[in-house]
Order: sequence, then C-alpha cells, then structure tokens
Amino acid sequence: MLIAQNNATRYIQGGMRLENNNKTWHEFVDDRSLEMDRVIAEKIRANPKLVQIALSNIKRWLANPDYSDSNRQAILEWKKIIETTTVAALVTLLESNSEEARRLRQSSPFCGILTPGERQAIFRKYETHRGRAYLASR
Amino acid sequence: MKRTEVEHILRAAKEIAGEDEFILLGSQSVLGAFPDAPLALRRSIELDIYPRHHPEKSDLIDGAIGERSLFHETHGYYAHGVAPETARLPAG
Repeated sequence: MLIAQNNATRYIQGGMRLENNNKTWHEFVDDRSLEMDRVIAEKIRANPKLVQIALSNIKRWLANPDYSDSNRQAILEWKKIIETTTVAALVTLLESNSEEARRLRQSSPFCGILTPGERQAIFRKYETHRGRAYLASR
Repeated sequence: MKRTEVEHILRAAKEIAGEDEFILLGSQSVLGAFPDAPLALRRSIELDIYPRHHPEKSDLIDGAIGERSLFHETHGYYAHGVAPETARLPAG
C-alpha cells in the first residue's frame, strides 16, 4: 500500500500537463476526473484488492431503497464491467480518455481509493484554471 | 438522479456556499421543470451547479460535495461546481 501511495504521489506531482489555456472549465473538469482515475488505476495496478472498495460502494448504494432508478442504471453498468473484466482491462478503462470512458467516469464508483490528500492535490492543481476559464468567458 | 436527490445536493450546497440561489446545468437540470422526466434523460449521478450570484464559490461545492468526495462516497451522487460559461453558446 505504501508503494502504491508513493507511486500515486509521484503521478500527481508529475501528472497531466495543463497547457491548453483555451479550454473551458468543464473541459478542465474532464481532465481532472481523468487524472484522478489515472492515479486510482496506478494504485489498483499495485494493489488489485482496491477494486473491492468500488464494489463495496456499489453494494451500499444499491442497498439504499431511496437510491433512484436512474442512478441504479448507471451504477449497475459499472458493476457489470467490474465483475466481468480483468483488472488489466479495468485499469486500461480507468486510464482511457475515450468518449465511452468519459461517459462512464461521470458515474464512477471509485470513491475512497484516493486519500483526501491525493484528491486535494489534484483539485488544487486544476483550481487555478477555474477563474481563468470564467474570466475568459465574460 | 431524482428530484429529492437534487434537493439534497442543493441543501448541502446552500450550507457550504452560504448562497440561496443556484443555477442547474446539464442533463439533470430537466428535473427542475420535469421531476418525472424519463429515466434515459436522468441517467447520471452528477449535478452541474453554480451559485447564481457568486459563481466563484463553485470551488467550495467541488471540494465538499464534489466528485470522489466523502459526500459522493456516502450517497452515490455528487455535485460538479461549474462556471457560467458551461452553458454559453458559441456566437452565431
């Protein structure tokens, strides 16, 4: 686990380059989501048991009788993917920037794998672009 | 997402941002006018919002109840703190 965290920390510090200043904030949000998933993929690659956290989230959400049918549909799609694909294929999906991967990422069950510090570091990295994107749109 | 889940996010966002009015964008905004919109239109666990009068406070929403937050992990849905330009159409 320690090795995985060290790898994740290195990834965040290097990570994706933010070089396109013409992007909208929403495009930066997509990049931020991808970067989180790439760190998660790195951690899962080092410790495949972490996939169980996503399955545990799915199980808990689906057990809530008030959880909406529309949310269930989105989450069941992930459940099927996780239960029927190899860890290698799952990691590839998490690291992908395809349209399908971006769609799935919006309903991700991969919460609780990043530490609060790792999440905060990624958010902080992208936050400088929020004001810039907002001002550029005015 | 369903209307009560949107309302839950809005209550949380109100506490976090100290704002009373929010703009909802994206696919889930249909729930404002059509609470029983078809499932196919509501198949997302994210809600794009920003405070109407202080959009710069979207970062607080992202941090507290955004993607991969404890709120997301606990409830299975979350808010995206977006910017007004998200809904801006190109000229022409």
